[in-house]
Amino acid sequence: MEGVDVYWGVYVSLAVYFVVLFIALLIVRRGVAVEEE
Amino acid sequence: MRYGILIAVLAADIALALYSVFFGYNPEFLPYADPTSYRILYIHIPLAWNMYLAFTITLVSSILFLTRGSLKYDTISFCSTVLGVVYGFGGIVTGMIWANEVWGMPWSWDPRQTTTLIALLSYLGYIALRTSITDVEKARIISCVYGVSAYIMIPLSYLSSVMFRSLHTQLPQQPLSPEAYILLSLRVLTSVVLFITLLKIYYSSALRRRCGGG
Repeated sequence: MEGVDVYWGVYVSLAVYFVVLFIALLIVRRGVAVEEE
Repeated sequence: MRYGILIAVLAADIALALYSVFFGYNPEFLPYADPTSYRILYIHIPLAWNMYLAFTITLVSSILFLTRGSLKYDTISFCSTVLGVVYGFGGIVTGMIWANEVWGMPWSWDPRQTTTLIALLSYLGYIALRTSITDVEKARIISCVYGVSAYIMIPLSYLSSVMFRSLHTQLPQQPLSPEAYILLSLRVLTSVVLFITLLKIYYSSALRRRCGGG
């Protein structure tokens, strides 16, 4: 239960998760790729 | 109001993700691996399960569009696929990072990795197909049929670690410790609520555009 000496990949995974959230938010905000009628 | 909910859910999800990475439970010992790499579980599983959820929503809404013909089901199908692909690639990348530590290499053409990649490429095909057909009505019908067909890859991906010789863990057969179970359940819960909130907002804006309501 320590917050130190964690495997580096855990931090990279967290960064990947934030990137996923950022892209999802960006897509939702802009409503991209939805065809116009 | 809906953005207030989004911000609240997003904050809860991020806070829990940070907690799980810095203070989450990990076993004392993992064979041939840093035990703290276990904490990738709290990031990887919510991403993967949201991908499965997204493509299941695509399946159900595609069937409903084909049977009832309502535009809203087609819109849900498209929005869910787009978000599912984003979450799915996140799941694959975090899985590769974990595999690099516990399997010794990031990509080994393991059945779970391979079937999940094929599933994602199939749904990328859905988006490509939909945006490449100029006849809107035809595009909707063809992409919904495709959305139903592509779903075959999802149970195949989920069951691949049971059906084939795989390095991937099989959660039902490997029970988690109570600490990990509680934290993982909370992570899955917040991320699913966040996904549904994102989908609802995306769906509403997309439907307004399609109906010409601004």
